[in-house]
Amino acid sequence: MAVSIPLWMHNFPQFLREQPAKQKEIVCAPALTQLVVDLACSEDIRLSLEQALNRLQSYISFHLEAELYLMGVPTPQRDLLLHASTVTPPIGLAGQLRYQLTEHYISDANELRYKLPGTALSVHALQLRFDDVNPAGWMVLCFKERLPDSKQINQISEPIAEALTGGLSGWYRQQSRISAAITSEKAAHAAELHDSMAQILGYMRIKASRLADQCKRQSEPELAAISEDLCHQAQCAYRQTRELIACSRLSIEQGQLVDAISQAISEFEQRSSVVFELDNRVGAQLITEDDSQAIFIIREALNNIVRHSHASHARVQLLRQNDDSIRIRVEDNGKGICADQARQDSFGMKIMQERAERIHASLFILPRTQGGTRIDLVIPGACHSQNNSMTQTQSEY
Amino acid sequence: MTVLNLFRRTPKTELPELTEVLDSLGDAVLVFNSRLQINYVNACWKTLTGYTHKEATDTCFSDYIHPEDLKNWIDITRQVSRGGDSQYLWFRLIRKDSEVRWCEIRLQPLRAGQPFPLTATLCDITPQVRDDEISKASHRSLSGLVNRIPGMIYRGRNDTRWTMEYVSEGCKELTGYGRDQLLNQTQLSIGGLIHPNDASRVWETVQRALQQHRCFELYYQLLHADGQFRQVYEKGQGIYSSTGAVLGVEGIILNISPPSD
Repeated sequence: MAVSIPLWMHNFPQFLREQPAKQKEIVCAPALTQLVVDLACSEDIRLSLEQALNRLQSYISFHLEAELYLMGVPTPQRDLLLHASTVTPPIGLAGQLRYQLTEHYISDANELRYKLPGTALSVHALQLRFDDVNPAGWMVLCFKERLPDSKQINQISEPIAEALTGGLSGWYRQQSRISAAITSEKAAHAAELHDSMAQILGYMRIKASRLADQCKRQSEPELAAISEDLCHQAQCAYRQTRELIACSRLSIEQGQLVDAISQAISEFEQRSSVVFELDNRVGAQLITEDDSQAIFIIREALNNIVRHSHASHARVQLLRQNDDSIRIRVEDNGKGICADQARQDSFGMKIMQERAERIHASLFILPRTQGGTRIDLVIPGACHSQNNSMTQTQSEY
Repeated sequence: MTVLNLFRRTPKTELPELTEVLDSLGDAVLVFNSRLQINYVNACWKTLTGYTHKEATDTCFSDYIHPEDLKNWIDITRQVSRGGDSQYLWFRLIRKDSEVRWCEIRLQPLRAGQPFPLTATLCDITPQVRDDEISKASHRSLSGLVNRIPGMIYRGRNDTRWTMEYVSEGCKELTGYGRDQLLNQTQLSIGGLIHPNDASRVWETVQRALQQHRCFELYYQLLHADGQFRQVYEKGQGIYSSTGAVLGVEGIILNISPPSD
């Protein structure tokens, strides 16, 4: 039973040597609370997540010898694979995870473990959830060789997952509150504009047009010119106010463009006999500089089809270009833009052009070779290439 | 012996080559390997997709499928390779010129009990799908129009309760009751909502018009769910069989009460 002093002396430094490792574990606990706060109060969520990952990666490397990634987090860049700056993700990992976790995942699975096809890498993915319904993305641990068993991994990773979920959920609630506040503020403005300005301008527009008519009839060329100009300006002011009102009522959340397009289509098909077709080849994730501007242009185009085109068919295509830009094409088989109508609608077209410029997109309004009109909205770098990785995964399958 | 040999030879020489048969078909025929790459296509493939058989061989079939239909394709390939039964799928095929064609693919294993290779026939159903879309759109547009009319369009039976077979959404505004409450109900009927003073006059006017195969026009009071009577105008006519029997009545009822404010 007695322990010799030399043996005790030998063991004592070893005991000391183990200490730092344990300390690291203890240090991590308060850091997690800080992480929740940092994320919840974040101004740039992507930056904050990357900073958090930088801190967490060393802990994960130490305990599990794995690389830590985040995927599908509901930020503006949902599709992005987030990781610490010290980590270089293997080629094709982003595409593979995106395919497996965000596009084709099984909704009731919280944990996914599999070997990446064609590599020595194994993946342990844990789904983060705000609540029973809303997913908050995936925390992915990527192992170079052996995949440790689930229990061992979760012991280390679960507190981290909880902290990330907590932080993200706080941030998400905050963002929702901000966007709800903006929307209600815009709606209030719209109501005020509608009640006061638009009604007065509407009245002025009618009176000015009557005045112009009378001046023309009484052959007063000078007055006629002035009153015509007045009439035109009143018309413009009225249209501009209506546009402002429409725009404040039409605010969509960033990232909801594809949903908003299909909603707009079903709305217009309810109210007309035009057959609409949506050909979406870019997936559900389409993010532009300002989705509200993009949806406004598309709605204006649909509006023109229903009101003026006399078309029986209309098609909206979302196509990915080779240079990573997105082409949104709205075309119809109607009577096309004739000179008369172009003059009448020049205001609408001008506004569409202005809105396109605001999001650095190009707008082309052209006659369709088979008859009708084609409107192409080309949005540069609308979202990063997803198709290539998808095709790659497909062929792997 | 010679006679028998002759008999044997004749059908052989007359049967065309199998590839010739396949190339003559109006549907595309395909064979896929275990990686779902195309091993074989017949001549119709070129007509349908614009790609030659050389371009298609060894490519993945999913490359030709519209991204939104990919998941369904993966699902049926899994089902077929696991279950062995033939499955079919309607999907959008993207042609070489980037145009979309609606196709029906029927997929099955080449040999029973083996998950791969798979064989498939591909048929262009674009005209049917387009026709279907046109009729759906026209129905949608018509029902939108009917339901937005500020009045109640109806078709009902010629009985004193005026039980309804169809009423438009306008019934909610006019009577305060929803469509479900008014259709084929025993407790609630339009007849029961007509003011007692007007009920018999309404019945008689309609019966007289029906006998003479004329339209009827009525002004009467209708009880709203809020307990107030509304002044309404109704114009309608009978629905008759070719022999002249009355099958029912149809028409429109409009609220003509002066606005309350």
